[in-house]
Amino acid sequence: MPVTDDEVAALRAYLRGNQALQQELYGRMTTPAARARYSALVAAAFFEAVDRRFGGRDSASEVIEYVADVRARVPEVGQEIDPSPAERLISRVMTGADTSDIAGRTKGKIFIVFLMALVSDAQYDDVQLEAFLAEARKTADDGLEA
Amino acid sequence: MDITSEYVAALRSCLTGEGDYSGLSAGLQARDGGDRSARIFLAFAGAALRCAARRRFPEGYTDADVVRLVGHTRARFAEDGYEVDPLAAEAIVRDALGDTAATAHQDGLAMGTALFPLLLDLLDQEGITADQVDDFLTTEVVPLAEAWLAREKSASPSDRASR
Repeated sequence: MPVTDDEVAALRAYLRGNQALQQELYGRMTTPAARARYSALVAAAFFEAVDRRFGGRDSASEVIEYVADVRARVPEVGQEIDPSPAERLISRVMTGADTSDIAGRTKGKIFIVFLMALVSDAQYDDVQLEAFLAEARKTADDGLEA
Repeated sequence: MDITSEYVAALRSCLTGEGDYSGLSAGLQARDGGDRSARIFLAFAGAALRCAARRRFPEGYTDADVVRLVGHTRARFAEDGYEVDPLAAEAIVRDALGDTAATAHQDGLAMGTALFPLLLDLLDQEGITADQVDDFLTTEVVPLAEAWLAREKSASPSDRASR
């Protein structure tokens, strides 16, 4: 089953900073399948956002500085993020390197924190945000079908 | 005095790339023994990091300061393929700034690998050029390192074992 409108709406609410709505919509995802679809959507959005931010450049120093910058913006959150897997997940978009050894929980935390930062930095208007979400949804659906 | 002029010359060489660091290091090992010379040299380099870090953050520091400093250092050295463990590096910066519990669970080798890149970056940020390193080391760092080594010597073996 592909990603649903409610799952996209939950991610949209998160990216717009509407935590209450995001929590409400997320709370409705009661089945493992729904949660798996939402995770796939978040991951797809993260990789799309990284691709847009770094534009295919493979610069280790740029990735390192970006991860440090994001961790420093909200130190209490940043302290919970190990920079090494975050840098690897970002670099994966450019290099295709294997990141399967990174625990799912660690990946999830990194996706959520860095997705918000990347989208915030991009300063999308409503139209651009919808286009971004549509691209992420398409990628997630492709992955779910495979 | 443990920190003789040869230790100053060795650390200076390490930080500036000038002089024969390998030869200086070999001379210290031959004179003082491998373990003792390594202990003194690391205490000296650690004191240099403390002095440089406190110069960089004289009014105290935030977690964001530490994260950004380490990110800057790692980014700079990553271009040469030199990898610095970020959490180990953040721990030794915090330790240098007074949070001595920060390094409790960190790997010694990873911290050792992080020390010199951090020190080099801090010296650059503080504008301490190669011709000013001698003055920095002799006037600021040597007294701190000598005091630390003296405390180590005066501590009983049981005190040291419990650290």
